[in-house]
Amino acid sequence: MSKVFIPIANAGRAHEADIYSTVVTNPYTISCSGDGNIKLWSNKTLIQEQNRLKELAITKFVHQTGLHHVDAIYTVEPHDIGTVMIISAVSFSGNIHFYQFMEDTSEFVELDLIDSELKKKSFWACKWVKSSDQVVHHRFIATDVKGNTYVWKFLSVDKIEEESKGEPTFEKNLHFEFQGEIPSNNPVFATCVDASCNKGLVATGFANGAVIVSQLATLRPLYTFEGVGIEGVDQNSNSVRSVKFSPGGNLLSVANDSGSYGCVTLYETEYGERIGNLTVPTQGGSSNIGLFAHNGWVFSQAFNASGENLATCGYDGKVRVWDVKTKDRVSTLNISATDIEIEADIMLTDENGDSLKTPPVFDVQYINQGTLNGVGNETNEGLCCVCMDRSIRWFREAGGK
Amino acid sequence: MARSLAELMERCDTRGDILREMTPTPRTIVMRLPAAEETALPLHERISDALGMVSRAFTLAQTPVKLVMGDGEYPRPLRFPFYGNEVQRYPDKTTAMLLALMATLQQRLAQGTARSTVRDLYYSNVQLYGDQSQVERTLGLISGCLGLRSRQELMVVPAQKGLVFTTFSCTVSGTIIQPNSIELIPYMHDGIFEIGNCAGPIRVTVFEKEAVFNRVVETLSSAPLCAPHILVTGKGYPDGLTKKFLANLIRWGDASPTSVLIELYVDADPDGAAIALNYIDYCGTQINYKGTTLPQLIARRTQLLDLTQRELQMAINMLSRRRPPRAIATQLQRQLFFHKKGEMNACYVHT
Repeated sequence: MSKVFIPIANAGRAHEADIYSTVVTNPYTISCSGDGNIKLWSNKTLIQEQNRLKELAITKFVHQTGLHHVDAIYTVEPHDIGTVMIISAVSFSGNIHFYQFMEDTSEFVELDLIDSELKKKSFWACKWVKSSDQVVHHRFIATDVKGNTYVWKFLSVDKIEEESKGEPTFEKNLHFEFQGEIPSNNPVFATCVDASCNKGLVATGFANGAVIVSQLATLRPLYTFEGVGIEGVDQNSNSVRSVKFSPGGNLLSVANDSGSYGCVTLYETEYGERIGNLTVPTQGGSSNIGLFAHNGWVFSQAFNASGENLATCGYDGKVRVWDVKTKDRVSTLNISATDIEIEADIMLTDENGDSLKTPPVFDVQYINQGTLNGVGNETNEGLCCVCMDRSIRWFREAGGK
Repeated sequence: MARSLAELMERCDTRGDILREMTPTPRTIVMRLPAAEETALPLHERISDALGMVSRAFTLAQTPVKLVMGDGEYPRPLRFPFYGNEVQRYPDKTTAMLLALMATLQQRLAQGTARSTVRDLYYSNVQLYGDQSQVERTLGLISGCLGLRSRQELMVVPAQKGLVFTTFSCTVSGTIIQPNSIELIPYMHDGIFEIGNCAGPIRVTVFEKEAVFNRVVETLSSAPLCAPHILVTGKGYPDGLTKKFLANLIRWGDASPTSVLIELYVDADPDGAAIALNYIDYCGTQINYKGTTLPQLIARRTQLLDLTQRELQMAINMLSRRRPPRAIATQLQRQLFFHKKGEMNACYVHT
C-alpha cells in the first residue's frame, strides 16, 4: 500500500555550504555542513516557526575544513546523571569533534573523549550505538580513510570504591574506553558504518564494494559481502555508500553504486544470506532490466522504528520509501529546489554554476512518532532530508492511524 | 709537507697540539663578489676572477680552500677538500657543483650564449648534479654571492612549457605572437609587457590539459571568434613563465582600458584543485575557477574513478592547510564525500 508524505517545514540555504549529514534526536534535528557548522533545529517548533527557522537554529562552529558526518546520542544515564546529549561531528581534516549539548542553557561543552594517539587517524564515518540494556555500554564507532574501524565504550560515571563505606559511589565523568579496532587488510576507504546493539553486530562498508560484518563484542569479522553491484555498460563503480541495520538487527541494508546508478540490497544477518534488491522498473516497462533503486548514487538509508519501512535517498533528487517485507516502493518524494517556502532562500545554482534545480539528497532520517509537534505528528512518522541546495526538509506521513 | 705520526708526536705534547698541527692552513676566498653597482666589470669577469682565485689555490699553493659565502644558505664557509673534526653539514659535492656551475655560466656569459635553462645546465654535467633541484639550489647560492635580484641576470631562464593561442596579433615583451597559431609562452622581462592591436575586452581561458587546449584551438580554427580571445595551457602544474604571463596580463588589464577576464578549467580531482590554487596563489583571485566539477561530469554520466589514498590525503591536506576559496573547497569536499574524481576531457574533448 502506498504512503503519502506531506511537507511540513523546510529551510533553504540552511548552511553556507553543502549539508552532508543530519541526525534526528528527540528534541532537535541536527545538521552538519561543509561550512564547518553544526546546527540544531528544534523539532517542537518546526511547524509553528516556519518563517523563523534559521533565526531560531542553534549554531556551533566546529572546524574550518567543513563537516561531513554528524551523529548524536540522547540518553538518560543512571546514577542521577540524568539526560545527556552528545553530538559528534567529523571534519574533512579527519578529526572527530565531541560536544555535550546542555539543553537548559543551549550551550555546547567540548569533550575530549579520544586518546591522543588515535586522534592522529583520518576518521571518516561515525556512529553512536545506543544500548537499551543498562548493563551494556553505549558504543561509539568510527571508520578511517584507510579502512579500519574503531570501537569505544561510552561511560558516563567513574565508579569509586571506598573501603570505609560498603557501597561504591559514582561520580559523573563522560568518557570513552577504547574497546578495539577491526583492522583492514587493504588500505581501502571505509565509507560507512552501522551497528546493531540487539544482534551485537557491526557492519563497515568500503569504497571497493565490500561490506564486512563483525561481532560487536569481539570485533571478529563474520561475513564479507563483495561486489554487490551488477556489471554492464558504464559500470565503473560499486562503492558502498550506506549500511544500515534494521531496528531489530535481523536485516542489513546495503546501498552501493552500480556505475552511476544506485542499488539497495537486503541481507539477513543470521547467516549472511542475500534476500533481494529494492528496485524500480527501468526503461523495460514493467519488467526490471536493471536492479536499481535510484537513478543516481544512493547516499543514505533509514529504517523506521518498527523496521517495516526503509527510506533511501540519492543523487537523483528523490527520497524513496520501501516496504521491506514486499520489497515494493511505497512512496517517492521528488525534491525540487523550488519547494522551499521562503523564495529568497531558493538556491538554483551553486557557486560554480552547477544546477541545483533537482538537488541530490545527501541524507535522510526517519522521525519517530511524537517527535514533532502539530496535528498528526503524534501518531505519524516523518522524514527529514538534507539536499545539495543546502536545504533541510521535514515531511510527515499523511492520514491518521 | 708530509710528516709521520711519530714526528708529530715528538713535536706536540698534547692531543690538541697534534690536531692544530694537522689542521691545514686553507686559502680563504670571499665569494661575496662585488655587486654590479660596486664595479664596472661585466658579470662573467667577476665570476672569472673568483674562479681564478680558487684555481690558483689548488694548482699553485696546493692548499685547501675555504669559501666564505656570507649569510645565505651556507652561512658557514665551505671547505674543500673537507677538513676538521666536526660533522660536515653539507654534501661533499656542494663545492664541486658550485665551481662547475660558475665555470659553465662564466663560459656562456662570455660567449654571449642567448639563454640557459636549468635543464640545459643540468645536462651539462648530469653525473655531478644528480638532479635538477641541485642545479636550482646552486644557482640560488651563486645569485646570492653576486647579489643578483633574479637568475635572469645570469641569463638562466625557466624552460618554456606553457602554450598560448590568440585570435589576434599581439606583442609580448617585444615578441610577436601570431594570431591563430599555437606558440610557446614567450620570455618576458620584468615590467615590460604589452598587448598590442586589441580592441574590446579580452577573454582568457586557461586549461590544465593540453589535449583540451588543442581541441578547443581546433574548434576555434574552424569557427573563428570575433571577440579577442587568448587560450593558455600550463600542461598540468604551471611553470613560472605561464603564471607570470597571466599575472602580467592581469596587471596590464588593470592599467589599460581593456578589461581582461580569466577563466580556469582544471580536472575534477585534488590535483586539479592544487593546480587552480597554484595559479590563484601567484596571480590573485582575478583568476576565475570554473571547474570542471563533479556535478558536470555526473550529469554527462561519464566514467568517474575512485580517489587514491594519495589523492585522499592531498585533498584533506589542502582543506586543512591552504584554506582554499569557497568554490574550490566545495569541489574538494564533494570529491571526498563522493570518493570520486573525473577528468575534464570528458566535458570538452568529445564535444
